[in-house]
Amino acid sequence: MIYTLKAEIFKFYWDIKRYLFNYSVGIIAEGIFILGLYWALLKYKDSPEILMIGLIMWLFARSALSDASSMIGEERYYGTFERLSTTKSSLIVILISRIIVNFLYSTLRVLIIASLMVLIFRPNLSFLFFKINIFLFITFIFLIASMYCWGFIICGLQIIWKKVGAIVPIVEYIFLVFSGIIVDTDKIPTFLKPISNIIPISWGLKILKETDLNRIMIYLIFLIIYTIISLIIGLYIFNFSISHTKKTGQYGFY
Amino acid sequence: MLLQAEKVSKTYIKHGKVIYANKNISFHIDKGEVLGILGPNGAGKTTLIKQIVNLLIPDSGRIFFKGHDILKNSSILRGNISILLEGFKNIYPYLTGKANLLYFAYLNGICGLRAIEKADTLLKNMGLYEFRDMYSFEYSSGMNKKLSIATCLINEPELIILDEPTSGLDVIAIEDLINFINRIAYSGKTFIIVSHDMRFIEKVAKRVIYIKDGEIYLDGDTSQIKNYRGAKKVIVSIENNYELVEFLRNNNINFQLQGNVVFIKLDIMEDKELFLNVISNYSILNIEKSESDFEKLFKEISKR
Repeated sequence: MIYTLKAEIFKFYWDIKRYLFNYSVGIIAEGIFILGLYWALLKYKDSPEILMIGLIMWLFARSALSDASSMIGEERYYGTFERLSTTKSSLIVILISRIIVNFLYSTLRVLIIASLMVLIFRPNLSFLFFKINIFLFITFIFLIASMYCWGFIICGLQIIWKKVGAIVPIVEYIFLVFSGIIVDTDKIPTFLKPISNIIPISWGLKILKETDLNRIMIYLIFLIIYTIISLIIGLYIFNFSISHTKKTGQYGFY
Repeated sequence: MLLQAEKVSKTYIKHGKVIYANKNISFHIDKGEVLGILGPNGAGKTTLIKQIVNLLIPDSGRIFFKGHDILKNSSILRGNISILLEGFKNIYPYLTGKANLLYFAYLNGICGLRAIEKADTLLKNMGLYEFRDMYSFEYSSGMNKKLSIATCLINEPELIILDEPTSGLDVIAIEDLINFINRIAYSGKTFIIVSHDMRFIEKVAKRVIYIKDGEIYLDGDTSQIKNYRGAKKVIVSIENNYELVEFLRNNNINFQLQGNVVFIKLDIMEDKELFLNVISNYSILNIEKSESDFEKLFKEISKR
């Protein structure tokens, strides 16, 4: 695992070096979008702080989904997918290492955008200090883990169905609109509520908004179960996709 | 025995039609052997090598690597087999030549100075050392091919499988590749090389398997196969003679005239009378066994 992680850090370093301009432009574009959205929604929200945290969570979700979809697509495009499969590192370890590296980069990106948001809008984050405890920490860990599990599901699906990458932006915007970041979940029509309930950010925001400790515990337990189920589904889909494509001859096809 | 395939079969279903890609294929390869796999397009060559490296699961049959059934324990292959598939670059264009090699070295657990030394050695052997810091998208297709072969060798796998390694290479690059493979093979590495380039296979492979319609049609030593047809043919060199040339022309016998020497290729069994006529009536300079042309031989087999 350590040498695989080293390989992925090395590859990412070269990727950044080669496409530094594209990466910088990406952060600027994302920053403009998030800051603009925050600015526009400020007057409609009771809690601008929760809006800010929601948008930050969405940035993580977006990166988890898009990174996962590009991982397999890129390997297939370059014809390196099969090459990776015969190295000493197993494919799943390579993908997990890549997710870790992408997560570290996303954290850096989110930190830059969040710092700008705090500097420009100076939201009152004092409520976070009251909530900084083990619950909040666990919430963040499982929230991010669950979003990367979604990424893993996308990864697995893309092995079988290469066009999954094209629908990833739709999933990203469903996450933004139906998670309670833009529209409060209690204002979402009943028939659309199930969508909101399967988005992990919705549960994270519920925990942040909640003041009753018992309810926080319930939401947190739900989030933990949700993450474990997502991980099991992700691993199952990934393994199924590998074995299915190895049988049909579609493994590595671009 | 390094690798053994036992009655490996694979079918595909395309547009509702069942296509038999491999039918009961059995063969083995010993350590240090260079095996060439030949066959026309769609014969099932790539399907076979993909099954060997567990990128494709056979419908039936078993494949053993160092005595382990790879369908039950595929992890035995990891790091011990490298494959270069046809049609792709097999490398990352945004990495330099050296970075590509180091990335594959790290993935195979080779780190630090050892990885750098190995990468440099391979780059020198491939004639890419002075281009090591260039991005691989700046490489020519021949350089890309060499680099991708080098990435297959960085972890010193026991079995190296190359699918159409000569595609996109010019004559000089092919000659370099032949020398390189022969040098590596001499050090005890095992190769399976799939190619359409029969002259290339003839120069690198000690043994050849010919696949046709998903089945092994021919399996044997390269020299034996060459003699399979060539042994009966001889090239007779005769001193140029007007009468002889007239005789050959009148009887529609192909000949070559080089300076003062006439060359005729004869089958001593089928052209027995002509052969005896020539050697008894004309001034013979030399008689030598004709080397069979691999390409012609397999063209004949393909038509059968």
